[in-house]
Amino acid sequence: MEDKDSIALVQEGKSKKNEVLYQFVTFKLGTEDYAVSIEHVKEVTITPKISKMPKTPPFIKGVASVRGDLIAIVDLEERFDLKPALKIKDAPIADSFTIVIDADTYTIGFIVTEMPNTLVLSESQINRSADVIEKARLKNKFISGLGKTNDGDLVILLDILKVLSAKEISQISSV
Amino acid sequence: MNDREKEYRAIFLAEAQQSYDQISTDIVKLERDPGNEQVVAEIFRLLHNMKANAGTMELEAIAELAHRLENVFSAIRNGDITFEGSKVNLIFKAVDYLGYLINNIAKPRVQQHNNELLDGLNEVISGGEDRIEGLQSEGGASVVSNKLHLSDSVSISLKKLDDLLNLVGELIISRDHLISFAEIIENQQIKVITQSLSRVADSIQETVMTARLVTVSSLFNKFPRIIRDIAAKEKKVVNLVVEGADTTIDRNVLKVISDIMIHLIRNAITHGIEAPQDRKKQKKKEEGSLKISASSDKGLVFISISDDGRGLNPKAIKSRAVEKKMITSAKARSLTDNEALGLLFVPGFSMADKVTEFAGRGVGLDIVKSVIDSIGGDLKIESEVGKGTNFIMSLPISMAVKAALLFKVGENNFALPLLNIHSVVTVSRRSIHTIAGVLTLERKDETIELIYMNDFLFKEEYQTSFINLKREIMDIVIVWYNNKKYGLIVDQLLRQQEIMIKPLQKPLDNNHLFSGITLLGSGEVCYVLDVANATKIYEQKESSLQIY
Amino acid sequence: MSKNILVVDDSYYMRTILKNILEDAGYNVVNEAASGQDALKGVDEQHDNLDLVTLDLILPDNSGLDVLRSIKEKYPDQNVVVVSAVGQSSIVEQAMEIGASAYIVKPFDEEKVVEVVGEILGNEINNE
Repeated sequence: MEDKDSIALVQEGKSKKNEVLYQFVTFKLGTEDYAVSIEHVKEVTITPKISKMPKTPPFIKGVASVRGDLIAIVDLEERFDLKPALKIKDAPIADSFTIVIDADTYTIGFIVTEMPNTLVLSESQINRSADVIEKARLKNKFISGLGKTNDGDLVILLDILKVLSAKEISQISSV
Repeated sequence: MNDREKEYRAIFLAEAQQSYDQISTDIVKLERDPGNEQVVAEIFRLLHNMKANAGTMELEAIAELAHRLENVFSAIRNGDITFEGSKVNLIFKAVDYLGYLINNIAKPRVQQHNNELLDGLNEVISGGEDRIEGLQSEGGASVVSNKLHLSDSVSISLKKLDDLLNLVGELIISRDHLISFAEIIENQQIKVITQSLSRVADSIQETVMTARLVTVSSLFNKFPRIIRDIAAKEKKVVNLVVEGADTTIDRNVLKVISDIMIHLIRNAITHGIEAPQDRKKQKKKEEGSLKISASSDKGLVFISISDDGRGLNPKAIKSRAVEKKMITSAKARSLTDNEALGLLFVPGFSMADKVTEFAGRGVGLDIVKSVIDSIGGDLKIESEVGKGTNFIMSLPISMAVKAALLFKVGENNFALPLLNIHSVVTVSRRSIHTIAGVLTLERKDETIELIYMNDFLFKEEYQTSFINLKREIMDIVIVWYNNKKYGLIVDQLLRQQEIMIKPLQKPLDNNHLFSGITLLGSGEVCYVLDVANATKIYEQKESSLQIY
Repeated sequence: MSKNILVVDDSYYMRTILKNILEDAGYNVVNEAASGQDALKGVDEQHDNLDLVTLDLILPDNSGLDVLRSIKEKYPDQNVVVVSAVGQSSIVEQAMEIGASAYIVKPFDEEKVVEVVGEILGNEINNE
């Protein structure tokens, strides 16, 4: 458990085998399945009306009002170049979902095209070895491990706070 | 110290500081008009209270000094001595020391008797006898008691007021939601309810806003003394005229501008107003005039500082800017006099080393300007060589809620604080021209540079060709920044409205084009344009364009 | 029933202290005034249930002694306690002559104020 901090540790429970359990929200970016710790997720909502903010890079979709809170909405697929190659046209934003992340001092949302799910993984279902992380397409520093669901599917565990606080996102908007 | 003692101490301090300010103002008045009995009575009363209150607080040094000063003014009131000659300086010194003690009540080491002063004050009243008789003080000092009253009522912590104001902002947003909703569903009953809710929300907002307001006099009262000191040091004679001291403004705004005003005043006396002998040569009155006035209109407060000194020389400013390689000499020639004065606001343009030659008042104005920008205000200069200079600050009455003009560019909503707006005009396309690649509007006797907002905001490279301007009639919002006018061509004017500005959150907070965002009643997002930065960005692009 | 008091002083600090002392002792400070005029108005308005007035002598508009005189002329029964930093015997005598019930010199002890007011108002237990 030396890397416990970087992994999304949310709701700790014990499985029958007395193992630590973690709860995640899963979603698709490009062709892969990703998961973030539910602890950071404020809510999942149908993407509200977004107003594009002038002089910001394309992956910042704009600002939207989520329960009266005005937050930035970003497209991580666009940012990290994860768009599936065969997809010619973007799905309309109106049909997408926004995962709202509570990042300590601010709130931010990112768009996913398919309905997110929740997932519980036990410690034994998570692999944090370096070579696994190496294979992922996202930069390794954003990834805290690889999970294997009960059905045998693989999901990439994202350190969402690191993703959002990355220089690539926080400094792009200067005019 | 228990809570009540803390409270007493805070109240004592606030009242003592206010009394000290008032006494400082009054003794300057008295120096000009030694026979003014009302002023003497007022000083006496303030010192008398201070003595009693400091005694209760067990602040012996303050109590004793106030007591001796009280005796002096008692003697003046009784006609035993007059406020003249060498006494005046000693009294000034003693009042200064009183202020020093008051401002350091938390430091026991400072709370010491100054025996030299105390003895001096005793000597002032030859005989040194306590003569507090004839308690009948003169009438007419009720203004002061009103003022004391006003600040009395601000004993709620500002944090609480800020919180309250934020909540009011939320309320206003909900109200606007409801109004839009009522319009959509066209239900008469809901409309009536919304209207009454709207009135209540408006008056709550107004009440909370006014609760934060203080009169500018709390700042202006400090000026006579400051001006006296600077003028004495510079060997100038300055007559101060203050107007509109009862104008009210948000306490935070007042706090922000206090240093700026002192800076501008110092500049006016040091660099603006000439020495008496020079003024005489120019057939001016030997006594220079400095006028500080405040007024308010439509949610804005205007404070101007004007002198009748040398004035600023646009030609000199231009050549200085060219010399400093800030602009090309071609550009310099194209600038109007007013625009040339605006160069003083450009960072790094300091006239300090050329002051005498130039007759300037432009020292460190870039800093002054940036502080005013930071609270969403504006600063303008008017000046005429040989006649004088006038600095006009326009300030928001409050920092959080601003009156703004809403408009659309493309699909998006934008807001511009009224403070930054000079005027709004509707013009036909015929009056718009392209001169050297720059869109301009010919109006009466002036040419205004235009910014086509749709291109400016949404195109990667800002370069407006005439082709983009398809409409016959165009709405232009004329803004004023750095003494230069810019016309913003917007797509659709919406309305005027009070908005609650929310700061930009990460990762948008690096976008300096906007000072914040607000949510409209319709639930739509609206971006608040930062005029200062928008024009700066525009100017940068313009100059890079002109290279080829 | 708790006794009603009007506090007259042009210093907010002093009014706060007096109000706290009196309220702690179980009295009811019904009003405060910062000028002679407001003081007279306050007495006029509430004279029927006003048990005592504390009066400062140096006020912005007119002399406390004049205010005292006006109150006593109109309402001879009104209890007025002078609380002032003026301590000369001549003034104290004048005030007592006009009809002040007591004269307290600032700075004062809290206990002293409570004691004097208690004596005048008949030492009733004021805790409701």
